[in-house]
Amino acid sequence: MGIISVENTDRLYWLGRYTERVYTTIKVFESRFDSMIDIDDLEYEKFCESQDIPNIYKSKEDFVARYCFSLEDENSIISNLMRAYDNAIVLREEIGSESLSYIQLAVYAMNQASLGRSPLIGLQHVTDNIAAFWGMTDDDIEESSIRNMIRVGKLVERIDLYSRLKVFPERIRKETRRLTNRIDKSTMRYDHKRMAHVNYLVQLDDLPYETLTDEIEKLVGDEL
Amino acid sequence: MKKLQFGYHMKLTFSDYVSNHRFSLKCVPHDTDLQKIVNMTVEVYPDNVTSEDSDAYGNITLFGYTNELHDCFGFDVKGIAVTGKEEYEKADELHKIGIFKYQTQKTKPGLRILEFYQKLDLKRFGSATDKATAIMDSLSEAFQYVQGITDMETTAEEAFTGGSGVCQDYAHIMLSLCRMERIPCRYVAGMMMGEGLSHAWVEIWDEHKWRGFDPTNHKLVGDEYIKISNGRDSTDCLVNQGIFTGNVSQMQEINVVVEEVFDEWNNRIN
Amino acid sequence: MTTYADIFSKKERVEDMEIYAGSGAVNEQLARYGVKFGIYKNNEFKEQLFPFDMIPRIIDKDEFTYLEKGLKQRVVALNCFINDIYGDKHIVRDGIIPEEFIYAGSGYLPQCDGIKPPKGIYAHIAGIDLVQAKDGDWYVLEDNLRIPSGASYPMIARMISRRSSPDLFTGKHVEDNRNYAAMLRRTMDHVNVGGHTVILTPGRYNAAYFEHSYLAEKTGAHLASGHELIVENDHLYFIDYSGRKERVGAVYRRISDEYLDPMTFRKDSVIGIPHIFDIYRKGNVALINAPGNGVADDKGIYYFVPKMVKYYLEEEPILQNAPTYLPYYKEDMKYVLENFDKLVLKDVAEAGGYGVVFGNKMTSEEKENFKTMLKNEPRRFIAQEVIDFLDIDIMEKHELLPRKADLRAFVLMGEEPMVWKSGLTRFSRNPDSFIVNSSQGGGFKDTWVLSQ
Repeated sequence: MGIISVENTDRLYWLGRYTERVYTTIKVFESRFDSMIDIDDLEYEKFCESQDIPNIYKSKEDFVARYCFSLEDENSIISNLMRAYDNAIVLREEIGSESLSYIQLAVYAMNQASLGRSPLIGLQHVTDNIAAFWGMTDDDIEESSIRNMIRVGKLVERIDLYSRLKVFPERIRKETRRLTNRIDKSTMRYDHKRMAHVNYLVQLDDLPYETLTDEIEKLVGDEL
Repeated sequence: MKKLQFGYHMKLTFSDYVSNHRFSLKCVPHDTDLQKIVNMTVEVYPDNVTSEDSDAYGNITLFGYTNELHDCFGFDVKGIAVTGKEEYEKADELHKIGIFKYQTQKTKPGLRILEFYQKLDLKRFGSATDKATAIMDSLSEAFQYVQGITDMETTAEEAFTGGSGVCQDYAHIMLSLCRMERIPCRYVAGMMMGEGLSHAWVEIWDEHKWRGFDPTNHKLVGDEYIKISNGRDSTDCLVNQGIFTGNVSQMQEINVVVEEVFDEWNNRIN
Repeated sequence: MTTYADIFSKKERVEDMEIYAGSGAVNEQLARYGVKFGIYKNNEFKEQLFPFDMIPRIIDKDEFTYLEKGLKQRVVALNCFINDIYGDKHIVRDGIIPEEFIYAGSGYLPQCDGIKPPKGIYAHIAGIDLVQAKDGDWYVLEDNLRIPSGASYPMIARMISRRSSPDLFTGKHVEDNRNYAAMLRRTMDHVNVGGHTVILTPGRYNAAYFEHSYLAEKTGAHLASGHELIVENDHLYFIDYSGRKERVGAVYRRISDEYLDPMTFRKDSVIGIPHIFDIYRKGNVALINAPGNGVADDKGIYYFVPKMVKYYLEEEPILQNAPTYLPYYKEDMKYVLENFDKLVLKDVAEAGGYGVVFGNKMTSEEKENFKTMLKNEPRRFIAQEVIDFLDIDIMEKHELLPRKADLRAFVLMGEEPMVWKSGLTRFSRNPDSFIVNSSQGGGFKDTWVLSQ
């Protein structure tokens, strides 16, 4: 064991990012959906703004249908899930058929969810499978660098999303500490100065969310 | 027997920088029954990692790569060939060289060559050598040497239809005609005394002998020729093949010098 | 001859299998593990599940012992042939095979002439397609010596069906087929010249990508694409993400010869590895299967395989070909023209069930056109008697339906020839069709070899 191509390290990282993106956006969607039911029909407008995605939706029904389930909407949850799948399908050897099967199941669950009338129940099967996938990767993958590459992707994405959603600084600090502990174990190349800067930013009382988003996105990637 | 001093220089100039360049070169003559190569130096530039191998036809292949950015690529091969050691190359038995009886994409005849072939009426001749001589005689009358009409990709039929071309085209047409007659024959790339460019000709199999015919100059191949490579057609003998990263146009310069030398070394080399 | 009816009780046949099939457990499991193949429809890539039918093909112990002997003999002879053809060519000299069947076909690669691959093995993994006739006789229909695929499907189907209906296996004495990966690993290790073993894939949009990735996982080989491998200083290396170069000693390549190396074969190939062929010539890497095997699995050469067995091994062939005629020979041409309606005609250049026509299904005009074509290009076609296939039942909507099926047996050449005690049974879903290829909508079954 122990030889991985550059391309596959990249895919492991993005697999972590996209699974996290799907998981967290479903969670956020759930909370917004709740108020759309009978409080504020236009809640989705604020949601789009917070996610920095164009509001192309005509109504709350349209929003639910397209943002969750339309492959033509590049910001939709299903589009992100398919990106996770596209990365996973070429990583069978690294992550194993057992872990991979949960991504596969998440895709089926997503397709099932699009057919039902209560999206939240369907989407819960998606997050169940993603959670199971993460559990499997931790449990089943022998190579610690592979586990950690996925983890790093997941934490980077989480900090990115939390920062866009402007969640409480303490939660972001916690995720940043986890990332700091992980990133060297992943043996991936990353920008050490930026990591230090991120650590500094999250300690500020008045957390500069936008700067943090910029910095965290550039932590790992091509520009190195 | 002659002693020929040769120099083969090739330079590719790219319109912009390229990188990740992988190349295979068939530019180095090898020893045969007819020729012996001595004092050879090979330089490939820019500096790069090069390996050597011999392909399925016995041709020397240099292969390697240059990863750095560069805007030109080339080689210089210099040496001395003692030629005319024998009249012909000994050939394998027929069943082993059967592949040379069959047409390739380049030599496959079309209507024009077919028509020409029928007029040749080769049944009059017995041996492969006599047939090949008749083919060469008629071909040099029917086809004209003109540069710039055809290119590397031109097939025998296309060249023949156009009526003129260069040595590669003469060779392909002759191969096409010989193969219609079921004569095993092969394409030869090489150099010739007094030429400024590389040259190509044909060898035909006749009773365990490979006999060289130069349809371009309408003569038999003798000791003023140096063989570099041989194969089914020109695609087996490409002097330079490469792939690289970069969207560029390229210009190729070739300069071949072959001259006879007379000096006191003569006796020592043999 | 054992059929499933002999070893399953009626209750098992009808009720249990129905429950098992009807529950959707199998399909759910196959979907879960992504058992798919890719196809292009209207230029768009689609992944399709490979329909699995749970009623297995069953082969008796004795019957399999016979097949095993015959398959080993056949693949050993085919390897002798390929070695000879790229070497001394005695079989041509001795007139056993007319030279044009070698040189005028597209299977013979002159670039391979003179090559002695590691351990002298050209066909490491052979997929031999067989059919069983109503009278129980087996016939070889085709030898696949390039990149035969399909072993992964019965491997995973077995795992799944043992899980979802364990009772069906209890007391049945079925040979375990989940050892394919281990056999494959031994085969690859046997020829490895030093270094890692990789499985070279054209990428995820290849029809058999599932198999490439599954076999990589199960054998512990590294799955790689062409651009992850590089030739340097006469050796092949895998470039690790840290920039480390790891020597590779064996490549189980799942891309075809023509795309393998743009410097030797198709220049426009972007999935190959430049100069891999040069270092393979030098013996510095093993290619599995070796390039050039097409010379031996051409439909025209098929006719000569029994003759090869006699010629190289001085043995009587154990397995028989389907009765085949070569219009190239005058007496065969005469027979084909006279018996056109009862024959199936195959274009030697086509594969995957394409280029196959049945004499009796043509209109009289089509027949005349075909006969003209046959006379003009006699070497392009072979004609075969239509074999009366033994049908195998499949389960469709609570009903047992008889369907045509073939068997792809896998023969691996390690230190010793090995025959996998299973195989891929493909069936045609269309009751009138004889064509079982997955690319044409067929399904598959597990193949049970009994151990007693």
